[in-house]
Amino acid sequence: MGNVIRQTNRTMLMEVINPEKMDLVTLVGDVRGMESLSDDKIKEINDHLLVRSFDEVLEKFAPTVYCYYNANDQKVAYQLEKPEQIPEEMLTQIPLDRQNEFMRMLMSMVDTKRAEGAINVDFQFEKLTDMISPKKVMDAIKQNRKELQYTYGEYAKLDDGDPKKLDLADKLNVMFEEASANYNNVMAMLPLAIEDIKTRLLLGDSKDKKDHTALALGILSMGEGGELKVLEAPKVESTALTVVDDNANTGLIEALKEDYNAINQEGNDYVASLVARTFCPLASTMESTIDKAQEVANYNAYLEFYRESKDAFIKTVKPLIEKLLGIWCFFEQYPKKTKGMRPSMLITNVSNELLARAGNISRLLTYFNTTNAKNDFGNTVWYAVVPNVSLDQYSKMKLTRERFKGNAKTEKTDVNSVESLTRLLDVFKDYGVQCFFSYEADDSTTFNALATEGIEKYEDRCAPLMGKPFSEYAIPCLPNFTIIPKDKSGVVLDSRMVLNEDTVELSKEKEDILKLWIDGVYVGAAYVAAGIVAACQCPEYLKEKFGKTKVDPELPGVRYDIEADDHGLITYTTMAKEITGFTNSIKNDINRKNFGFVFSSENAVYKGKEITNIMVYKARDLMSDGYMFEPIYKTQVTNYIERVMRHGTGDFKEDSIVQFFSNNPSSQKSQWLSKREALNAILGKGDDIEYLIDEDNGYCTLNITFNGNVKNLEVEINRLSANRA
Amino acid sequence: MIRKKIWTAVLFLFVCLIWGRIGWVYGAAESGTDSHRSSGQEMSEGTKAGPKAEIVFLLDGSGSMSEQGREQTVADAIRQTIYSLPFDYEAGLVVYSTDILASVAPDTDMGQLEEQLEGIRYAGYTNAGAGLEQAMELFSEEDGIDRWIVMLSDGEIDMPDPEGIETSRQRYVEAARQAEERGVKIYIVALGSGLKGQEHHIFDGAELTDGAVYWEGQSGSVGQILEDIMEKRMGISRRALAMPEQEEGVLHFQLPQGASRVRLLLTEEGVEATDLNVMEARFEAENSKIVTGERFKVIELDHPASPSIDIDPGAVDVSGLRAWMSAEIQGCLQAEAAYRIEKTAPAGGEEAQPAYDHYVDITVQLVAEDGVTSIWQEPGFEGMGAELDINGISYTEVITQGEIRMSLPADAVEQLELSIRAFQGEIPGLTFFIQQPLTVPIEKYPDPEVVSEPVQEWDHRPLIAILVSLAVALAGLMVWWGKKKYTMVVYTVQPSEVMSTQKKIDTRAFPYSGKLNLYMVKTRDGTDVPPQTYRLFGRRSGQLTLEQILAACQIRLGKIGAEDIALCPGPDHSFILTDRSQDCTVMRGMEILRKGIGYPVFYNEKVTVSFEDGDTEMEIYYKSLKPSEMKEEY
Repeated sequence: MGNVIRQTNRTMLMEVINPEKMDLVTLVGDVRGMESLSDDKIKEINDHLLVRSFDEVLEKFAPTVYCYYNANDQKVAYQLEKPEQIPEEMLTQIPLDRQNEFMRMLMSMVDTKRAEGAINVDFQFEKLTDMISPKKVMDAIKQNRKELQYTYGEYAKLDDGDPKKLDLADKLNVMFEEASANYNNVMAMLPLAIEDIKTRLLLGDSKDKKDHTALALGILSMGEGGELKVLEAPKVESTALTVVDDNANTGLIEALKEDYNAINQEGNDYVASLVARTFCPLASTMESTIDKAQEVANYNAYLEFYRESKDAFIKTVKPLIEKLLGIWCFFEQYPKKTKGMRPSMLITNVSNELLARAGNISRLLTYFNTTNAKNDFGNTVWYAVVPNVSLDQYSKMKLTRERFKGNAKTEKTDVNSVESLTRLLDVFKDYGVQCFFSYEADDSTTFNALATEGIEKYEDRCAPLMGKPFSEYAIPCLPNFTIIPKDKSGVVLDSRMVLNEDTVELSKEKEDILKLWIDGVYVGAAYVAAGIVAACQCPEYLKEKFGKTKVDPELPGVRYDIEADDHGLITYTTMAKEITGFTNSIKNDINRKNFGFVFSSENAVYKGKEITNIMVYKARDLMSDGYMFEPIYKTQVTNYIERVMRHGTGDFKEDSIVQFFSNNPSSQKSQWLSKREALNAILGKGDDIEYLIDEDNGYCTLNITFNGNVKNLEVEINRLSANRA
Repeated sequence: MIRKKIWTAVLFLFVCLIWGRIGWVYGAAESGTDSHRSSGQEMSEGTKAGPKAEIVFLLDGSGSMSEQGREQTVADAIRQTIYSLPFDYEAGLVVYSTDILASVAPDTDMGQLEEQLEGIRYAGYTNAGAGLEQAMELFSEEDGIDRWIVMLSDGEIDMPDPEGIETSRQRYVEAARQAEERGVKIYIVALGSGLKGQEHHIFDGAELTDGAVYWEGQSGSVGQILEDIMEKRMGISRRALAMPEQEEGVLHFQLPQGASRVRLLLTEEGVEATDLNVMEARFEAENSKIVTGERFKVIELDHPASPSIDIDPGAVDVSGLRAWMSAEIQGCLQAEAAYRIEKTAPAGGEEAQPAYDHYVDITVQLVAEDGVTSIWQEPGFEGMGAELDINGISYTEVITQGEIRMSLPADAVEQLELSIRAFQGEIPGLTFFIQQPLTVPIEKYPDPEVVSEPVQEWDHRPLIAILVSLAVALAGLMVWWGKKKYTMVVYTVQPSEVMSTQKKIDTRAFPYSGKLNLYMVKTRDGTDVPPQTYRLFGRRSGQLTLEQILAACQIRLGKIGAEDIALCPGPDHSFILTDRSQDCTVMRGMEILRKGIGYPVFYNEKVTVSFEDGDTEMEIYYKSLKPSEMKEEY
């Protein structure tokens, strides 16, 4: 009977990833008179919004930044929402995927840090932040162009009609497609142009070079007396290539130029040459004469423009990147190779504030009526993630209508108000959805801040959510994770170039060093908390961690208490440690009330193996008996039992309830009790379940005992239907 | 004599029957909370006695008080508390910041206090020392009076410089010590989060005077805290009135008989305040004053001429209202002393001279200023003990049918001098000013000669028969009227769905159950209305309009048809929904409701309402309450 529930970790993320894509509110549509949605509608919603991996998120939601240029202030502007007033052809869409250098840098940061196991104070963030400098962009391209050149060379060697040539042509198409991502917009070309100018103007320049004599290319030869000489090579026309070239590269240059011109109808020769120079080996594209003054001016202008636009880009894209990293971290908690109850995520793709409006809540209710109130549990949502909740506990929803949104966004407009969270929690409680929420991610909510300021701040912020009917569904997650700390988020792009008489060099002056500040990148704790709890639902995952014998392969991990015994040391997160640990007084504070879903960054050793990852220290919701907050597993076990019981008793028929709890070996209770030795037993050691039928009110009360503590579940007995007609 | 008694009984029965129908709300007054005056309600002698107690509200007027926007709430809570006090309590006010901003002595007119509260400009530091000193100066020198200070502040003592802080602290402690000596208790209400924890100098006042500290939030809202202080700390018993049933949309509040001043206080509970200005009060009185606060409304009548105050609540949800009444009664004693001679058995047998005992039968009433209205006719006095002093001797007698009857030996007594000392028991909210003592001469006459007269027995059976038939007819009439009022047509769909029938059901037979989750899907001006929950369970089985429900949830839509959509309790935990509007469209699930016919709505069903303005739309989800939720405070 218990097998009817095959997943207990569907998670709903209440965030917008791409406003241009479908969202839950739109897909659910008009629900007037409707109590639930059709199966087709649920399938359509899943097609659009359900993801099982980070790559699927990138594919389905195609997170994009829109870029356009303002001729009045000569600046580039970025926006996450597609600006409707700007014609399509004037907009540049920048995909935020694994190829995006900013995204790539941050993901590398997490990976490297995890591999090194270094805490924030020791980790060399600068090594990775310069990944977005023009030099590193060029380095990446260098690798690509090497492959491109090699493949094109192979392609050119083969005769037409050779089947292998066709294979190579396919490969080249893919490589050109990737390369074109760089040269189909000027912004992507900027780092190339910067490095290109630098290469040409500073050719031969190195740290060791002492004099500033201009470079004159020459050819090694032997003099008449047999002495070795480097003779200056004869100058050719400015557009000509050096004589030492091969046909293959000439062909590649032509192919690249043609491709550039085909994609950019209003392209110019300068950029066409730049593309060719970038993606072809230097020797073939080297121009011998250069207008130095012009190029230095260009270089400085490009660099300044690059810095400004990168700065604007990062400021715009950071909230979205943080969301994407959050989703990535969510999926990272479950090992890729594990085959089992892989966590799935339904992204609402609508802002919390909009979803929590009264007009839209009824749509959410109708959705949950379909997924969570039926006896088909394939689409049941068990968890929700609400990150970035405002630290102002009295924060209200915006009263303005949606049409006034748009321009001049500041970072704080992206936070979710406590009021909207409260409204959603009120819905979640009716449908048994446990909500992981975390406060706005910045340097005031990190491990470092928690270690110095303590937990009281969070308790105060959560006060309005305590003592409410929905409190047991509210799980405050803390602290937030730091990807790049604010104080180590500076990126040195390059130095301005100066022209002294005929010599070009990079300025050594401090004010000429162009630097931008990422201002810190953080990931909400709610993503990781939901991720690790969702992973622990999978019996295969638990098997990998604890061994086969301890885990029942059929039961989910709803009763798995991550706080108990050494569980925290075994099922830890994939996030690297951030600090050396909390002080005893902070830990005492946390333990006094057992508040929140708290991560710890501690020195720990389990069975001789040092743990360099962040672990779960507490896993509690906001329901309190006045002294302690309740562990989150209790709510999930209760929901699980209710759902299994609803299914097994035909929507709580009285006689079926009696059978459900009978001592008959085939009864559900007996089956559960028979597996109580398993780590993921629904009723573990010290647990029990009893029922009491209240004939007067038509209710059945279940007393579920967890280690001696009783939790009640009241279900309405199904007996009114006969009286209705 | 017997005939007179029977007619009185008839009249009493008739009045009782009528009162039973309309609800004698005054009689249903809730009992007051524990009081330290267990000896009963004491009398004030003379036409106007001094105050029984003095309270000074000491309010922090520093700049921080206005930061959270709490100033209006605090001022409103103080006003409401003052209007809740009995008439013999006097309230004063001191507002302080860097200096004293306002000072109103307890014996000042309420209008002045209102003005001062209204005119506060919150700014400056927190010189609590100066404030407490000033508060102490405002108390009168009179002995035997309870005195309290209620201090409301959001921060510790604070002045521009450290010396200033130290001086203010010293002044504060000095004033607190003085308060302790004079028996003045200080209760402190700590507002906001600035005064968390115990370690604050400002709390010394409460500690030194054996007062108490209340924290806003932890101990409830400011209003609730002040109410708590008033009832539990000061022992003030207020007269809470049960909310009467609406008759033709009007609430009748019966006034105490013979009151010279009456004050009806209506307070509102709930998350957000409703505009109580929409409530209309109807009454007749020599003078009147109506004060409306954010969460209360006070109607004060001087010499009311009408027996009740009628309140038309308008769009205000009466289920969220509470009513309190206090009254001042200026009365005088009326007494009759009938001399009576009783023959006793002669000591020397039948042949001896007859012997007589002499008594005076005393009937005492308390009448109002008009000299006619009997105060003790008030049902609350029935059976209550009263301590009387007659010719210097104390007696305790029971009030029966509005008067005290007692007999005393009349030998050697020519006149009676009587006064009421106290009542054993208390009617909360009533303050008495009684003209006493009263002197009553005894008209004596000589012992009579023995006259034997046959007693004629009067046959009262026909009268009883008439009475019984009258009562039965009246009861029948009322049952019929009640049934008519609560009966409505309910439309039920036949299983075949080919035809439908209508049947009448008595909605009064069912209780309300469950709750309504309300979602305003669309509003005319596009504003977002937070989802609301309206609990039906526990409400009286009357009809509710959607407008009333929305008003209780602070949702005001104007006249767009909500007033014509009605709910009544139905069978099987359903409610009956009737759309009597002109142009609203009401759907139960996918089914559009026919006008004027009630439809049952069961748990987990959804109702969609499109209002007459064509824009506003709402959805109503009907949900059950679990047994544990039913037990929760309503």
